[in-house]
Amino acid sequence: MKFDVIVVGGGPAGLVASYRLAQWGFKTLVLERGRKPGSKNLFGGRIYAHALDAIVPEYRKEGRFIERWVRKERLSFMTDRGLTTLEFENVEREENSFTAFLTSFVEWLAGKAEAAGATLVTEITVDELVRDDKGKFIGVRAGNDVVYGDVIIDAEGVNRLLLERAGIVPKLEPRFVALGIKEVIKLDKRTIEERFNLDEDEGLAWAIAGYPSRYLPGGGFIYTNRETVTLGVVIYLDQWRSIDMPVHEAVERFKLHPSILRLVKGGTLIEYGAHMTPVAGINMAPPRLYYDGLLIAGDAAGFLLHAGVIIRGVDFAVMSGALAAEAVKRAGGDYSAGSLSVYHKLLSDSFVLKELEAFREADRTLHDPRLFNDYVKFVDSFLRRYFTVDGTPRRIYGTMKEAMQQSGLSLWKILKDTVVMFRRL
Amino acid sequence: MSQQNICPEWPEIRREEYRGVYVYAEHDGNSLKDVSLELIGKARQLAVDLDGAEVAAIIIGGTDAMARELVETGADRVIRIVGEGLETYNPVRYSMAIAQVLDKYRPEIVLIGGTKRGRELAAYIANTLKTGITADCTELEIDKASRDLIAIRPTFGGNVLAGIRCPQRRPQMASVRPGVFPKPSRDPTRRGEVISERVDVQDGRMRLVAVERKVERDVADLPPVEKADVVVVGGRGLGSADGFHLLVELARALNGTIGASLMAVRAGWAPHTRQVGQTGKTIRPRVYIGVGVSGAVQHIVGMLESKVIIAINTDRNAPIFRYVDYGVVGDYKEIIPRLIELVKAAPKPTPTEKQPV
Amino acid sequence: MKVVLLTKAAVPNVTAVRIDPKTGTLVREGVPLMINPWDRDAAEFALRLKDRYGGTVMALSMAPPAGKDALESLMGMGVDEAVLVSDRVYAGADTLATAYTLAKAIEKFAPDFDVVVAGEETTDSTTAHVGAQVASWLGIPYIYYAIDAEVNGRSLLVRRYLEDEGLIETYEIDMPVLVSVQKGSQVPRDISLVRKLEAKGRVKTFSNSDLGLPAECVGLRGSPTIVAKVFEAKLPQRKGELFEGPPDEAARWLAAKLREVGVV
Ligand SMILES: Cc1cc2nc3c(=O)[nH]c(=O)nc-3n(C[C@H](O)[C@H](O)[C@H](O)COP(=O)(O)OP(=O)(O)OC[C@H]3O[C@@H](n4cnc5c(N)ncnc54)[C@H](O)[C@@H]3O)c2cc1C
Ligand SMILES: Cc1cc2nc3c(=O)[nH]c(=O)nc-3n(C[C@H](O)[C@H](O)[C@H](O)COP(=O)(O)OP(=O)(O)OC[C@H]3O[C@@H](n4cnc5c(N)ncnc54)[C@H](O)[C@@H]3O)c2cc1C
Ligand SMILES: Nc1ncnc2c1ncn2[C@@H]1O[C@H](COP(=O)(O)O)[C@@H](O)[C@H]1O
Repeated sequence: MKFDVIVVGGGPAGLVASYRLAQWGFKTLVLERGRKPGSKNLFGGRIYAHALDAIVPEYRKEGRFIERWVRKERLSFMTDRGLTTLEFENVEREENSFTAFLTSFVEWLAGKAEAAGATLVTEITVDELVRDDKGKFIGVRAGNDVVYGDVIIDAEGVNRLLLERAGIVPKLEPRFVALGIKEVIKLDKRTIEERFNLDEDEGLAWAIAGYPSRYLPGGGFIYTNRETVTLGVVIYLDQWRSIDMPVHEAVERFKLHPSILRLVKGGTLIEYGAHMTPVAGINMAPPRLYYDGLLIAGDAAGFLLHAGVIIRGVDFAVMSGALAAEAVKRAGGDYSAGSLSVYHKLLSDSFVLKELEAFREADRTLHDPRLFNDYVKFVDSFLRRYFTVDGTPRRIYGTMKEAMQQSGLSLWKILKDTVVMFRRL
Repeated sequence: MSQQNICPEWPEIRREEYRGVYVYAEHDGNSLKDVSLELIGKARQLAVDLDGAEVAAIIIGGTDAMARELVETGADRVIRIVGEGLETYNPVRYSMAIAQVLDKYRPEIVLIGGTKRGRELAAYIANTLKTGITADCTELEIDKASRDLIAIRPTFGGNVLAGIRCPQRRPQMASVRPGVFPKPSRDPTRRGEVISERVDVQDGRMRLVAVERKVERDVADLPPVEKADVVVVGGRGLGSADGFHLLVELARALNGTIGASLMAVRAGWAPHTRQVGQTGKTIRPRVYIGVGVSGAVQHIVGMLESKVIIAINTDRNAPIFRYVDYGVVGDYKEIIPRLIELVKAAPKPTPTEKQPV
Repeated sequence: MKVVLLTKAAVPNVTAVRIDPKTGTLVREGVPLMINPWDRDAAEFALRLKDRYGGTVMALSMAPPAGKDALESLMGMGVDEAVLVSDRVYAGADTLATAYTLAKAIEKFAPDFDVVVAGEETTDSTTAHVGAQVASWLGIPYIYYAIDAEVNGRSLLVRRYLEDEGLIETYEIDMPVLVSVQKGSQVPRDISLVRKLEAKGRVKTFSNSDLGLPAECVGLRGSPTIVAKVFEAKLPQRKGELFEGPPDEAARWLAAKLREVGVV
């Protein structure tokens, strides 16, 4: 059996690629190991709209997966004793990002791809990318069956076992992945809007450093959906070992923090899950994104931006999937690496590689435990002293100095960190 | 109740003609199944809420001693079905015979023990009578106002209980899980009537040709996993079949049996019949002891109703510790041998010493 | 040999279903649908009959349209034909109405069947009713808990396992017959990619206008039982005591707990 294009992975990257290709008349096959596209993707979060606006603008009308448009962004430092929050409210009612469940989004994309003529086959795990004797990728093997395609798009997501088996990438190191654990809590719509101070259909995206990840890199996140709140913790696995606590308990504790409990009280847990997510961004990209007969897109290519707890992957996946399709079209039937190299060019011209390159160093900073410990505690100590009126004089500088001593920071350290951060972030 | 708009395939009935609580009494030729006696006890309770309705047992074949036992545990009447072709068990003939008798006596409620054979018969009988049946119930109640039976049963993997009723059709049928109701004690002074009912079911389409006792390749002398008070369950963390032998020894010392996680079954350390979980058995022993089991949700749903849950695991972060009464963080290889010694050294409890938990 | 395979093609993954304590309703949001896992055992059983004696296997399911995926997967295993009967009026059916609909569909789409194969039970309703009830509607003999079968002239020799009695019984049954397969007794074969590709678009879907069944015999209206209430199972509070320490002490601690519980 022969196809023009075989796409491995029915996630955002793979489905966008196949949707486009099918629209252009390519005979396209998408293979997904889950029972349904999206059944293996765990995600409750926020999707940035810009890539979708460029690629599938009709989603704004058709997309029942849009839970709430994000109008409020919060960044907090949380300690056992307090919570310091910076809140930005967009009063211009721009629609830059929305909260969603990835499963519904992916289901919608799958519907579009199939309607455009792509063949989607689920419950099939690809075991191997098949090459000919010259090393060109010519098909995929699942069990005893081999199916051939002129070009393969690998969009298998973060685990990328196929790339590993093909010798393209090494085994994933723990320091490259974080664990995301999330819960979906059902509350009624009104309650959500009251507790989070939102208008109807307005959403909140909230990142919380410090306490949720036990002052280690990572942190907590909260997103408001229509009738649910997604709440979770991201933990850097290589660092968690130093902590004497089950990973799932981190979520439990986070939820029980008085500042959070108030918000989710009375809700019902309707979903619980954990999923790996790459954190090293472009640093874990394969040596090349195109080979003879093969393109790599989405998380598998390392296209993911991890700024502490804010994970941005879907817009990169969508855009890279679309550009992989574009590259296939431009290659005009010659699917050698040379011809497919246009993919890299397209990515470099797009936000995908521009943004990811710009943040190449970020992951080193974000692996620095001090950022999540000393600074969080410093902010807490400082504000706590500053806002406590007990008759002793408190001037800003003196208070700050005391807070620095308490959290093990010095002016010099802060200065150094700031410089490094400016360089990397 | 209106009979309009009812499926024309259903015979018309008059609800008020149906009275009495009937129990199908299953036996193996030698003795009655415990669950049948448990149901007689429950039927007596239900009868109270139905203005003292009659409680009857239906038995195919059986002995005088069984009939007496049914009366002494609470049956007002025992209907003994006799007839050609009922000498050996046969699902079609048995269900047709029972259905015929039910159609004649018209009870309001029919209870059947949820044994393998009981469940095989129950649905066919209900379909023959074109009435509703609720499977695998764990509680039964009467709604006095309507005289409807509310049959309560776990659903969706045991997370949820559903109360089911059958407002329009009679009899109302339910199969009931063995062991959920207490077995009533015998009262030798109770009197009841024993009726012999001759039934003719000439159905020659199926014949029993052989019966063999299944010899499990695993520890045959340990009871099945769903049948013991104490179940020691091994997981992939055992690391080897030898690990399982250690668990067998512990299970023996505790008068219990062994079970396994899917991973242990896959590793070939235990047969599939001992697997606990979503795709295995649901167990609810007095004590569950999980050894080297991580506690994946698919496993947990199969043991969540255990009275006491114990786990041994080297990983203090193992999810199973979220569900335990008692958890030990440590290597089973070091702990279990010592535990076996301690258990063996302890005096065995006599059943009366067992405290409720 | 013509085999009909009954399968519930879209059951919710039960481990993901929760209940809303306030409204008492099931929260099925985001709960993935899947094929009833035990029906894969039934499929393997049916396919082995076909492997040995030739003929065809037709899978039949009453399910919402989403059931199509699971039927394609069964074709990926080697099932020749798949029929999905799907209609709004079938919604809310209890086992009697489900079995009625399935029996009528068998009479229409496979009147010349020899064997109907069902799974032991479904994971969402776990009634194990539908098999026997289909047999009753069709007026054919039936047997539960089958582990294997062989053809002997016009009859089927079925071995079945009664787990609670530890017995294996063999019955000789005249065909046509309904056989329900002991869960976990088979090793379902893999789904082949090529076969699944070939199955694309070959699942036949029929509605009640094709079957022409009276509305008062199907779905909620054709169901004698109704769900009166739903509530959360109360699970015992757990003590959650954790012991960490040298193995000797751990063993002693455990032994003491076992004594408290009354099993030592
Ligand atoms: C906890 C968490 C929170 C996140 N939050 C956000 C957020 O708020 N915003 C955001 O933009 N991004 C977020 N992300 C990231 C986002 O989910 C990913 O970047 C995005 O899904 C990547 O898309 P993809 O198509 O590359 O890969 P995936 O979505 O992972 O899809 C890959 C697909 O391939 C299938 N597959 C894999 N191997 C095989 C095989 N061998 N054969 C067949 N099929 C195979 C998989 O089943 C999967 O469906 C989050 C991720 C996590 C884990
Ligand atoms: C659809 C589906 C259905 C499933 N059905 C079932 C089911 O019915 N039953 C079932 O069990 N699973 C089922 N599973 C599988 C389930 O998800 C888990 O994979 C499985 O339960 C894990 O088995 P385990 O705990 O033995 O192994 P693991 O998860 O590998 O856990 C082994 C544990 O042993 C511990 N350990 C290691 N060494 C030692 C030592 N020396 N001493 C003490 N502890 C040690 C480890 O810390 C670890 O926690 C199903 C999965 C799916 C997808
Ligand atoms: N909707 C359905 N469509 C087809 N077959 C079904 C359906 N429901 C149940 N069955 C069959 O009947 C068996 C027993 O189901 P249940 O009585 O629901 O436990 C299943 O394993 C299937 O083989």
